[in-house]
Amino acid sequence: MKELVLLLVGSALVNNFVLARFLGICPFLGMTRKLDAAWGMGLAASFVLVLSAMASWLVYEYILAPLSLEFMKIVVFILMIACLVQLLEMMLKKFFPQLYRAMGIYLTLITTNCAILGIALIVAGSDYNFLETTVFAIGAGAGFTLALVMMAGIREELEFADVPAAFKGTSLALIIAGIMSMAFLGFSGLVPM
Amino acid sequence: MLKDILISAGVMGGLGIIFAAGLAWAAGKFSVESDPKVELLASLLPGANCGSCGCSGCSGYAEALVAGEASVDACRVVDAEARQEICSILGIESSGSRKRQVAKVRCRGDYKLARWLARYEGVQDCRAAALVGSSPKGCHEGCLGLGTCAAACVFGAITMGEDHLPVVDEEKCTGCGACVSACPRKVIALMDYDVPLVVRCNSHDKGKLVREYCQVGCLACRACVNACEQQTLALVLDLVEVDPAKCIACGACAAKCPSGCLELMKPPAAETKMLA
Repeated sequence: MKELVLLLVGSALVNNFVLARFLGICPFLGMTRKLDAAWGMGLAASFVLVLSAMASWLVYEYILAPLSLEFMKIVVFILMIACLVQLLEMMLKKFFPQLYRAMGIYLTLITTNCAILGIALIVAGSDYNFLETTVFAIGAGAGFTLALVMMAGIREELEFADVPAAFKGTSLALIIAGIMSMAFLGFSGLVPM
Repeated sequence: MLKDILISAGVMGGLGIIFAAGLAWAAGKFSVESDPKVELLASLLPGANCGSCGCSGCSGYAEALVAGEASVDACRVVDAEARQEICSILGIESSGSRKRQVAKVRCRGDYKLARWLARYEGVQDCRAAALVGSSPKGCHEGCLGLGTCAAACVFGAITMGEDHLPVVDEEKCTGCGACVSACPRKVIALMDYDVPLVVRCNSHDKGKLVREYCQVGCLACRACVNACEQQTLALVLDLVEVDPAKCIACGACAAKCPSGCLELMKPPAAETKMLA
């Protein structure tokens, strides 16, 4: 039990996917102008993250590894992630049309989000069991959402600040990201890797 | 070797089929019904995606119309019957007639008639040329002749003539206004299709200055104002302006103009294309 909690904290804070592993930067910069959009994106990506981590682990463990097809893992994972994102799109279109329209192309871009493929490659062939994989993925999703929401909060506040013209927009976002990463370095050593 | 290829292909194919089947089932379960009105309206709209309505293309405009966020008058390209149908589908009354407008060029200063201060060798776009410190053309408000308006027109209604002035095909022009937004000097403007008189000058400089850089610019000499018996002409900031409602197209002003910058349009043909 203690290991699971440590795993959760580890993937959410210590090795935060966005701020420590530098994966999933595209929505981190692209969907964080508004807090609502960041929330929506974070939860949608977390949904895909958890499902694809679980599915990837299962496929690797029970199909690819026994047939010695480990070399195919990247292609197979991409296939699965794409299908999961399509499923997510259909569900969002039906149940949350506002969010669907607000996210626009960024919803489809979750397919190419390196955090999702990243987590799939991390869990495949690692010595996590299925439960640990799921907890790891939930922590990763939570950390991803946290990073996005924090960034959105900061950016929304700075909308009203007197930012020099040269720094407006993406430059400021990158500077904020760098400072946030440095802050999250404070967590290192909290959980043994 | 062959066995490996077959197995990996088989696994990929098998997984693909399983996931495709799953997605197909999900598509059926999570299907969303889109409002059929949107598609009907989109089919009635011109489909040119010119953006003059302010929406993202004709389908975006159709959605906005159904949602009640856009007005029926926003589209300048749609013709009378389609507009009537759109109004009846939406259940609103069509609000009166809208006169057809076309783009007209308010400059005659080509390379021979106008004085150019320098040969412009930069980016061949009027917007770039207009940014140059002092205008390459003597007249700060005249047409630069690099064809930005022609490039902006999605209907192919504007071509550049041999004298480097834009020529508008008034039959193809739909009055969408893309060229007006594109022109950095606002030389091209939307006017009624059957306006009787067009002032072919855009310069608000005093006559003495205009004479220095253009043979066909408006000098604000008042010859036309005095010649007109209907009081349709007035001088506003050293440029002539016409009140189309009062003009009877007699041509007295055009005859008196020393620069020849007043152009009397031909009287409208028997079938004037007006929007009901």
